[in-house]
Amino acid sequence: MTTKISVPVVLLLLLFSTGAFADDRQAHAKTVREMVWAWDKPEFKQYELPAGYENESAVILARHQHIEATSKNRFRMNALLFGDINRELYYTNIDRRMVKINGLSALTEFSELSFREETKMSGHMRSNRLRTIVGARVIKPDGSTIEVAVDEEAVAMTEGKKEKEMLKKVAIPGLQVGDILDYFVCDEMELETYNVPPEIFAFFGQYPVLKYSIHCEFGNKLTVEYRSVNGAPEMRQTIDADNNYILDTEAENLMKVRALDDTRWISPYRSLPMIRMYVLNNASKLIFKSPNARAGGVYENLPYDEYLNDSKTFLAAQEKQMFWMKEIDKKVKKTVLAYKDKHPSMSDDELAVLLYDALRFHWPNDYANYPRLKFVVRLQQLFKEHDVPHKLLFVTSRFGPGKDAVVSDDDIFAGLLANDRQLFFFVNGYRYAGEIPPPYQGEAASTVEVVKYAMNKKYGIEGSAGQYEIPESKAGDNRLNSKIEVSFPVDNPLQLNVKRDLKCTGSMKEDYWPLVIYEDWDREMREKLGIGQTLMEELQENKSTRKRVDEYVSALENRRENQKENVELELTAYHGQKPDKITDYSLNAIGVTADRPALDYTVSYTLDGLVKSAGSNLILEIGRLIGQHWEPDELDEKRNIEAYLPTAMRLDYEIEIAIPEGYAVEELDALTSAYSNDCGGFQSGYKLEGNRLVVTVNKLYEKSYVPVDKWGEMLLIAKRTNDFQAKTIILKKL
Amino acid sequence: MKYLLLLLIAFLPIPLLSHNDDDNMIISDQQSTYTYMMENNKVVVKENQDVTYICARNLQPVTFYRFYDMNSEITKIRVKGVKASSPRYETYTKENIFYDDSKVCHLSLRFKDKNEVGTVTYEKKYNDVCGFSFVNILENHFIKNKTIRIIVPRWMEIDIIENNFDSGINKSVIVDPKSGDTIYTYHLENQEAYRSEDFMPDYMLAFPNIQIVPRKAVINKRTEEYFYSFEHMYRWCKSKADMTVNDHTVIAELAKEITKESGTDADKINALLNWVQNNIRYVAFEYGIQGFKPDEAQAVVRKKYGDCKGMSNLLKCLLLAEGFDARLVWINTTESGREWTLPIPSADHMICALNYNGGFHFLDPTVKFMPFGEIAYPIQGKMAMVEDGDRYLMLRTPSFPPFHNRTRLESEYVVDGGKLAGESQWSFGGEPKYAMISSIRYASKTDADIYLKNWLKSNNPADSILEMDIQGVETGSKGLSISYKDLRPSCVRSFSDELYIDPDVFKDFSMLAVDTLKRKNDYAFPFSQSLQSHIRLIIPEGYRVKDIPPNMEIETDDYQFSIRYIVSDDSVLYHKEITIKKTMLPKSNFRRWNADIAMLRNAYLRQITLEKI
Repeated sequence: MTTKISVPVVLLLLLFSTGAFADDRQAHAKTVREMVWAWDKPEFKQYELPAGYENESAVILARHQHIEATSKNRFRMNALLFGDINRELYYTNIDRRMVKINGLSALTEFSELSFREETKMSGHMRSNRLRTIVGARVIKPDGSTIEVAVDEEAVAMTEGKKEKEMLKKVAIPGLQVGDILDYFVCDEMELETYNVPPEIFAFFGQYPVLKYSIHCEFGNKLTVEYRSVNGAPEMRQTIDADNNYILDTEAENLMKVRALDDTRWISPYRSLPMIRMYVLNNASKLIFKSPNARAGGVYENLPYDEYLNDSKTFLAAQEKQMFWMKEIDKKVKKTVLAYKDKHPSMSDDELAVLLYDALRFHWPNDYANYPRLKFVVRLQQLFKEHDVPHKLLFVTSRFGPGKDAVVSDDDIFAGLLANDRQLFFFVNGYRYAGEIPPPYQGEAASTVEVVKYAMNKKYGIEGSAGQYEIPESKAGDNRLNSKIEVSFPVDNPLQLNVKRDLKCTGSMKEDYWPLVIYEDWDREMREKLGIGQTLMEELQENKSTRKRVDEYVSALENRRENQKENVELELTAYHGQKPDKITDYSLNAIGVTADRPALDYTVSYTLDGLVKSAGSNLILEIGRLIGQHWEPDELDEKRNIEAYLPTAMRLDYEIEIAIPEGYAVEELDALTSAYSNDCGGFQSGYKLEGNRLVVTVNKLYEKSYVPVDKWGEMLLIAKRTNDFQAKTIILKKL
Repeated sequence: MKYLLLLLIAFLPIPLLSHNDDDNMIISDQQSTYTYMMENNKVVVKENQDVTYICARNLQPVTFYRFYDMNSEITKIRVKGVKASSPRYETYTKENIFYDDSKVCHLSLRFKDKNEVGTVTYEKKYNDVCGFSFVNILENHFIKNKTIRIIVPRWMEIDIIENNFDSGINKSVIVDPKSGDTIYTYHLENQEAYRSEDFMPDYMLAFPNIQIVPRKAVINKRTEEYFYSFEHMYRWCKSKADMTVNDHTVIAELAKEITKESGTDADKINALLNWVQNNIRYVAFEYGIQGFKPDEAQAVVRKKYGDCKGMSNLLKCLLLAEGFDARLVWINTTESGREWTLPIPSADHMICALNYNGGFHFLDPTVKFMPFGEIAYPIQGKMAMVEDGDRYLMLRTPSFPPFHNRTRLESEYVVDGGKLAGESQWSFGGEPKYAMISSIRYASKTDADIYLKNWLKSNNPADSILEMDIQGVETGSKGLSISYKDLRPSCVRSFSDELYIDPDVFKDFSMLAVDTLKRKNDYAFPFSQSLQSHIRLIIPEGYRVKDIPPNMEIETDDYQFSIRYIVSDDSVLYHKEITIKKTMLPKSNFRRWNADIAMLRNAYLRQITLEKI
């Protein structure tokens, strides 16, 4: 007798046979591990540490990445329970490293691995799974190898009411200083509604890497776009018997860099060797892509214009998605019309600024629903509506890949050029209308005069194309002007009274943005736009916001409280010590409107530790009044990477010291210094007028880009600054 | 060790969760009831809480959070009156713990108006009666009114210990005539919020709390004993340790190998301790039974990692193998904030004891750079439960004076072309030594050099540190020293015919004034300590001493600051001594402390004046 099992029951059995799945997973993991350990790569058999690396905490003796992505047809049920056949993309990325553990810090860093064994990702109508397999083995100095039983040793971190597994952690057993850890992480995905995750092959590292190789196999329906930059090796392209694209490369003795977070003025995309690769599943109908998307094939160093067209098509697509804009449009229109009524003879430049300010002011803070591209499209439409001559502008960032190195539309940012001289970008800190963010300065941008958005066309936007060289600001445009008044209290001359008045322009404002509060920005923008209503009045007017007034009031109150703390933090960072007491502070201007572009901040406080007594004389550590400056360390001195400063910069200090009665200052010549080079300089001088000693200090970074061969000049500027910081003056008791 | 961990995290600073500003929100009423119940012939404890918040000032979201673990569960959590996020149940990750079962359930209350009221109703079940051993009194917000009830049925016997109670907490005990239940009730009003700060005393030591010791229960005429006495508790702890099956043959072979070149007993002890310190890395597991049961010695050897139990058990086995009388020790660290006065398994640490030469010596293999004969500050002077077969010994660990944790600088300088030039040597003992060796050993050589030079320059970039030599960073080293040549232009000012010398660039403790406006809690130093600087300045030829700063001497029961100058014909000796005698600086002493720090700072600002003859 045979027993019939209904189809739903079979499905249920399949669905709930998790034990079987677990067994499958373990068997599959075992196969993967066996396969990886069997790689015929001689560098993974070379266990000797070459001479010269003894002081390194860890050395990557070998690293190999094996990436495979091939497509297959597969029947799948979608979310609506309709079956369909779709071409699925199978992706495997195995990253194996063999690390010599030379010190305790490396032992700590490499002795634990954590990974998600399986992650479900929601996609368009389907969900996909990401599986991770980890393998590890410890190679002892005598050459014996101990494989880590990851499945047994790993512990599972669970979360949620149902204790769902979130993460697995393995403490590598048997690992000691002197051993080699040979480990890999293998990611496997069945991707349908996703592209292969973008890959950056970095040919540099914090630890020495003796050998790094990469092998990629991609199905011939896939679109592979990549670029090797900044001295990274080229990839060799071949085709295998199954018509898959094969890409290979390798390098030895990679560039060692300090942690990027600890590296001053670095633009990794422009300075460090890397291959950036995008593997796109453009054949899939389930992936949103540009009509300009390339067909299957391998594309090395695609011209910038391809990605520019991608950018244009994505921008054009936004034009059809301008949802939830009615309220914003109404407010912008009301503000603009009222302003125009009061200022009937505005220039074109003023009109462009008005439109930008009005849109920026009324643009919601919800950047997920109101993103950058929507802002650009709406501003373009406003310019058009108000007859402001304008062009759309596409630009790369100085801190991202340059025009000749883009590999994705994500590398290109959209903005607007109005009246052939004004530039407008999406909300970016507390900048005023037309202020150019430092990352775009000096970049060669592409423009297009919009005739029509054409999201279904390869070119995206109809209109004449052009170029625009974005001007680069000079040091004088990015200026910190600091007037410091110092006096000695009669009752305690060891504790200084200090008043600092700072005026900052350009990029020098950014350090002080934490002091700016929303309330001040809102007030200044209303004033600028001629909006008579206050924020509270506006909230009271609207039924939906009226009930949230208390919430706003308390949030603003909180920000004001935070501002006090931020002032203390600013002073602590400036002097390297907490002030004794902050007596007063104010932000007289916040630099958010074109007619008040500078940030003006005054703070008064008492500070000790800068005055010492020598018998009846006083010693003032006058150099410390210019605050803390960069002190290059040994690694800075050995730097071999070009520097990208945010902008050229100029820092001016005028320190006015009231010499207390009964004291005199002499022998002040040591305060005078002058040093300059191609990158900038440092100058200081003084003048003594009665009981007023005025010391002037000027530090200049003239260039925003410093090539490696000029780095020494930057060090000398820092050295001269540090020398001045050590200066003291003696106040001789008369 | 697990119960205590869970108990402690309920009050530890939780940056992610405890960001509530205590001024903004008030707990107008909190009713907490803990009831012992019988469930499937097992004693469980049910906790019910109704916590009512009033938004007093600021409408920031309030996070409500409660902890649980594998032996407890949150059975209900509801919010009334205000909108709230859905509760999230997450693993609570703690620093230095690789894996444990601590979980947190949290949600966010969103107040829209001032004076809006929101109530969280919450229920938790302790499936293991031993897991309910602690009730905290304070919350992160001001409490207007709070009542805690502990309902103990006739069949259950517990002890209740009230710690750090003040007059603001009223207690009553009644027996319900109907049920026979004993009801302990605590009521308090207008309690300040608990605020977490750096260097604060442990909750258990400084703040009111209730400890509960489950004694025994009569379940269906059968008596189940929990922690009726220290003997019971010892048996309980020992039973967990005895679950460990050590392979003594394997360990004996290893011990033999480790000690093959050791001549004396002392050499053998040192060799075995150092081997564990050097070869086993500390990885903390606090999950279920792993919170109490040491990992097998052979497993720790294989894995080359273990937690305090695994490492101590391995050391014990190694010592046993070499014929020593070694024992396991359960101990409360300073962090646990308690003395072992109650028979509850509160130990948060395990070490090893060696019965040798007529006395017990305590060995802690988890402290990597500590030699035999020393123990770390957190376990000094503590009651230690030492295994002794079926019985136990309660011994007190030794305490070391502040000088044990010493830092000493010796320098000799000449004035050379506008700078001090000379040779210096730092030496370290005790806790500063362990910390400094860790900083050096856990960094790459380059990073360690940069770190040390920056520290030695003490914020004076123009100074130079040359020919640095470090001795004693190896495991088991008795002392650490850092010698170097230094050139210090920052220490010399010349004016006319005078030289002004600042002999001490380090100015220890000068920044340690307490912000009395912000500080809410007493200040707890991590350990007692002694800092000494002994700096000799050779008077340059053609100069004589014109002015010497006055000596300074401050001595209290808690600390001592002293700066003395001794002038001889050819030199000036600057001698500084700072001693922290007691680790707790109470709030009541802050004013005095700040005045003394100001005097110290003032003394640092005074220079030696030399004049041309």
